[in-house]
Amino acid sequence: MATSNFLSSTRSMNLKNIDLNSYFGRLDTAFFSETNARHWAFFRIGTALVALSLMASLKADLLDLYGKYGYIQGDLIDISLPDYQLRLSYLMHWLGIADAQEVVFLNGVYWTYIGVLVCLLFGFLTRFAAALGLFLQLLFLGSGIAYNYGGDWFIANSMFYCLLFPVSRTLSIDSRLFRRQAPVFRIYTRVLQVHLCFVYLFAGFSKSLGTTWWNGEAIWRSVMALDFRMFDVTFLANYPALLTALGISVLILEFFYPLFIFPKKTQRFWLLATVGMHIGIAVFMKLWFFAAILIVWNITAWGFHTEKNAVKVVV
Amino acid sequence: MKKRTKLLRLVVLLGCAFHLTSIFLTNIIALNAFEAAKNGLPSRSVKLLDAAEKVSQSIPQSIQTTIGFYDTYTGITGYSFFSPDPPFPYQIVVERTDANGGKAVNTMAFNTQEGYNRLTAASNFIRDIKNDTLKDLVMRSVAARTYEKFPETNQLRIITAYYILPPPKAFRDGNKQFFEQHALYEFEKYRP
Repeated sequence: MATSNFLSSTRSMNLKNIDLNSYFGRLDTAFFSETNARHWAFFRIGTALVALSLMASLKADLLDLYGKYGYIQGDLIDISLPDYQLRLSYLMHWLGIADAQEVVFLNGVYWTYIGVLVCLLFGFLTRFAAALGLFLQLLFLGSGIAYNYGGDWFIANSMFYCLLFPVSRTLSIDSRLFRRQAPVFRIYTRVLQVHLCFVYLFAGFSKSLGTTWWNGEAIWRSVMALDFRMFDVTFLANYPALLTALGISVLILEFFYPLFIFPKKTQRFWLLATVGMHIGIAVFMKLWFFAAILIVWNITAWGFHTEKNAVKVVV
Repeated sequence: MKKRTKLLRLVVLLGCAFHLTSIFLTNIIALNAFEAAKNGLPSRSVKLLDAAEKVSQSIPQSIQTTIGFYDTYTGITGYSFFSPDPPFPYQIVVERTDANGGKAVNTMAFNTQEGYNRLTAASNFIRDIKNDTLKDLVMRSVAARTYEKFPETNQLRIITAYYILPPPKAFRDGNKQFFEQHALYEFEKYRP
């Protein structure tokens, strides 16, 4: 009796036609259909190049930024970190290295990181390199907590993705050495795409809460800030409408990114506009590595035809 | 499809769901950092922030701790760059005087452009220290490093200041940017 009642109710709700297998089949297609691996090779190479350039550009300031007796001494940094956060002083302690040997230690960590990044660049022992790269990047993140900006966090996140995602299936030494033919699933691309949607959604939302992004003053303050100023842009004060338009464009671009980046019709424009915004950040605010890593992320997520046999790059 | 493959795919799906949920919740929780900025925000923004605060308060502490731990090891962070309004830059000005009275004014002296690019982060870090003793220790640390890098320095003044930039219209009308001093720290070389 109970069974017949149930059947009749499902019939009335038109649920009888739902085929669970096809439902899961669609989910399976959405997440586990196979893609080619070129965009992940691009991600690996891009991440390695950005991190290498960043580390190369910081070499002469290692002691000032990360040293125990740098501008903000290590002990003062340490008390502002949770105990579980990795930092260079932990590694020094674990290895039993005395303070007097700090320069040698810092150089050792630095050159190890460079070596790891070169391995990542060429896709040699990639997962091991990514794991070690993540560990070392986290050490620098912890010890340099007072000096970090967005780019450092995105590089750590990229290492994490290089560790878990299939970044060495093509254009890598590993792919030549081990010749694995394991499939590359779409879910990894989806994760990066959704991650980017969160990045821009929250960036746009939090900017929209203020007033200065709506009237252009935020752009004015950003490009005129002493530390960021690349060019003399005081003339912009004469073009308030341009400043307002730029401010509102940033809000629209970021807040509506999740809405317009998925549909094919708007994808290319939104991708190019986003890459353009990051080029603007690099040129006018000197945040080169932050801009570069986000361009790598965007092109990886949206810039390739990922169908299994396609190799064409969209942008 | 083999049972093992199905199970593996389920694990991957759950892992990805956890990862993306962490990113989402981290950013909801990060909105609480705007608490101090609420005074200057429009009422609609305050309402939205209050709503976000309620959501983040409803997340159990154990989950917040787990997410915090996970974020630390994966590089996940809040993405509210330059929000809600970019603040007036906080500057650290270092004025060195040698024994002959020669003066040099700089900021923390780095060797690379990228080092200087990180000054903003360092200045904000110092600005946000609430504990006066800790702030004092940090400024002593800056002073110690400066003496080490420039041994000829005798007296040292470290001035923290806000770089006030008038809005475009006021700037056009002739109001120029200026420094508003926040604190002054003076040091003299120790001679035993």
